[in-house]
Amino acid sequence: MQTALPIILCSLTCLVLIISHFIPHEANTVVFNQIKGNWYAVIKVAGYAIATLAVLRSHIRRLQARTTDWQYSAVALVCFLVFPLTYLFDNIRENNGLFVTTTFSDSDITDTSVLRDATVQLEPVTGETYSGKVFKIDGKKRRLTVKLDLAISDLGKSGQSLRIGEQSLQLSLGETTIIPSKLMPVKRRGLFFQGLGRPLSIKKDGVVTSWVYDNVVSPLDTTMFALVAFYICSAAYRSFRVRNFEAGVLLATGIIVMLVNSPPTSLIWDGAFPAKTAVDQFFVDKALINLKDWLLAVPGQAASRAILIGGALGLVTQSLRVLFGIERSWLG
Amino acid sequence: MWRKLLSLNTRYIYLAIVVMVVIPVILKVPLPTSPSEPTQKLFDHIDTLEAGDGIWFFLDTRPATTAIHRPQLHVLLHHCFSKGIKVVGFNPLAPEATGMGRPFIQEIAVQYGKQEYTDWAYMGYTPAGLAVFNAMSKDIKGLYSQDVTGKAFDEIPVLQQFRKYSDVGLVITLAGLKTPGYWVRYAQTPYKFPFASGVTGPMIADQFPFLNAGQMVGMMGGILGAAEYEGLLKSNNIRKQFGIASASMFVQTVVHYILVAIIILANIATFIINKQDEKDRQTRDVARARIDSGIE
Repeated sequence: MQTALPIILCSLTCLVLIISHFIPHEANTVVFNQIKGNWYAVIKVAGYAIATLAVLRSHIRRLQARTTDWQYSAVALVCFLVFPLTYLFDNIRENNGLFVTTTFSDSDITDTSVLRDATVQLEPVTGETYSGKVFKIDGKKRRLTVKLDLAISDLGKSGQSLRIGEQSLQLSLGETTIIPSKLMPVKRRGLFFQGLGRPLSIKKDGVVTSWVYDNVVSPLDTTMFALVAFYICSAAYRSFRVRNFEAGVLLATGIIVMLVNSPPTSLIWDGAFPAKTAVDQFFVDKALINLKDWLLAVPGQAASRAILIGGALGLVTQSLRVLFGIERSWLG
Repeated sequence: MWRKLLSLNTRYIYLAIVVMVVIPVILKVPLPTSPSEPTQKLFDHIDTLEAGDGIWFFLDTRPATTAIHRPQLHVLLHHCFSKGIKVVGFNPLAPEATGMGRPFIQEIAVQYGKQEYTDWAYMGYTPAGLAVFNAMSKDIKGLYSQDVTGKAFDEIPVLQQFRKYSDVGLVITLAGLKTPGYWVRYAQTPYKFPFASGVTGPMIADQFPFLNAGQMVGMMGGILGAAEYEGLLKSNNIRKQFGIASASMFVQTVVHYILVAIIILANIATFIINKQDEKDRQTRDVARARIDSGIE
C-alpha cells in the first residue's frame, strides 16, 4: 500500500492534467482548470513547508555531527531564520493599529446592531474627520472600541489633527451623531500576525525586510553572479584549446559572437573596410554583424531546436513511465 | 617563457580583470550600438501601442541579474511612460524578485510624473507555480488580492483595466531563469497574445526558435539588448541621452576583448609549446636511434 497509493495518486494527477490539456471541451476547461489551479497552489505551499523542514533538519544534523565545514551550516541556519523573522517583525509593526475606546449611555446608542460592520467617523474639535470600523462592542460594560483606518506611521504628519492620548472627539455614523463631543483616549494596540496568509509583499513601511533585502540579499546574490566573470576568464585561459576541428569551430564562433557584441569592433571594421557600393554594405560593411546573426539564427537555432525537441521527447518518455508506474525512483 | 605564461598564477588574471572592469565603470563612457533585429522588433511593437494601452512585465529572475534586468526594464519604462502606456509588474515565478520591481519602476515613474496605482502597479509574488499561466488568462484577481504595498486589488484603478492577457498590448518576461520557454508553452501558445522576452546573454540562443516561429514579437538580449534599445530611444527622440546600459557596454567590451586576447594568447602558447615538444621528441628519437644502431 505504501508504494501503490502514491503511484495511484500520481497516475491520477497525470491523467487529470492530460485530459484537461488535450480535450478542450468546455466542461473540462472549467472543472479541470479549477482543480488544476487549486492543486498547484496546495502542492506548492506544501512543498515550501516540506522543503523548509528538510533544510532545517539537514543543517541541524550537520551541526550535531560536526561534519566538514559545519560552520557554513551555522551561517545558513542563522540566515534561514533571520529573513522570515524580519517579515514577521514587519507584519507585527504593520498590524499595530490605532484604537479609540469610549463608553456610551443607553441614550447614545439604542441599537448596537447597526454599528456592526458600519464605518463610523471620528471628528476632532478642529481638523479633518477620521473614519474607522467598530472593532468591539461590550454591551454589558457599555464600551465601544473603534479601529481607525490610519497607520501609526501616518500620525505626526503635517495636517494631522489626531494624536495618541486623550482628546475631544465626536463619533458619528453617516450624518447621525452617535456620541457627542467628549474626551476619548486614542491608543495603539498590536494585533500579532493578523496579516499573515496574504501574498508575500514588501510593504511601503516593511522597513526591516526591505533593509535586509537591499543591503544583504541583493548585494550577496549580485556578487556571486559577478564572480562568474572571473571564473570564466580563468577557465577559458586554462582550458579553451584548439585540440581538434570541432573545438576550432567552437572557438571561432565564440570569438566572432563576442567581438561583434562589442560595439567598437564594428567601428574598427568599418574603418578598415569602407563600403563603397550597396553590395559592399551587405558583404563588407555589415559582414561581421551578418555573420553573427547567421550563426545565432541558423546553426545556433538548429542546435537549440534539437535540444528543445530532444528534451521534450525525453520528458514525454519519462512522464509516460511515471504515469504507468514503471518509473518509481521519485518514491525515494 | 611560453610555459611560464601558461602556468601563470590565476590571481594575475583576476587582478587584470578587476583593473580593466573598474576603470570603465568609473569612466562611464557610453558606447553607441546598432540595433539587432529582435530588439528593433520589440521597439516597433511597443511603438504601435497607444496612450492608455497596457503592458504586463514579469520579473522571472533574482537580484543576481539586476545589472542586466534593471537597464532592460528601465528602457521599456522610458518608452511606455513617454507614450502614456500603463504598466503592471509581477514576479509569480520568482519570489526572490519581490523587492526588485517597485523601486525599479519608481526610479523612472517620477521622471514622467506617473502615479502609482493609476499609471502603474507592482503586484509581487503569489504562490501559484505554473498555474499562473492559466489563471492569468481569466482574471488576475484570482491570484492577487492586493499589490506589493498591501493596497487592496479593488482600490487600484490600473488593475481594473488590465485583468487578463487579452486586455494588454504586450506581455514581457525579464528572465534570468528558464521561464521564457514555459511562457511560450503554457501561456502564449494556448491563449495567443503578443509576447516578448528580455534575457541574459547565455540565454539568447535559446530564444531564436520562439522568435522565428512568431511566438515572440521581439527580444532584448543581455545588456547589449538594453543598450540597443537605448540607442533606439535616442534616435527616435524619446530620450536625449544614453543611459546606464550604453555605459555598461564599455565594461562588457573591455572584458570581451580581454577574454578573446587571453584565449588567443593561451592557444598560441600551447601551439608553440607543442611544436617545441614535438621537435624535442624527434631529436630524442633520432639520438636514441643512433645509439641503438651503434653510430655513436
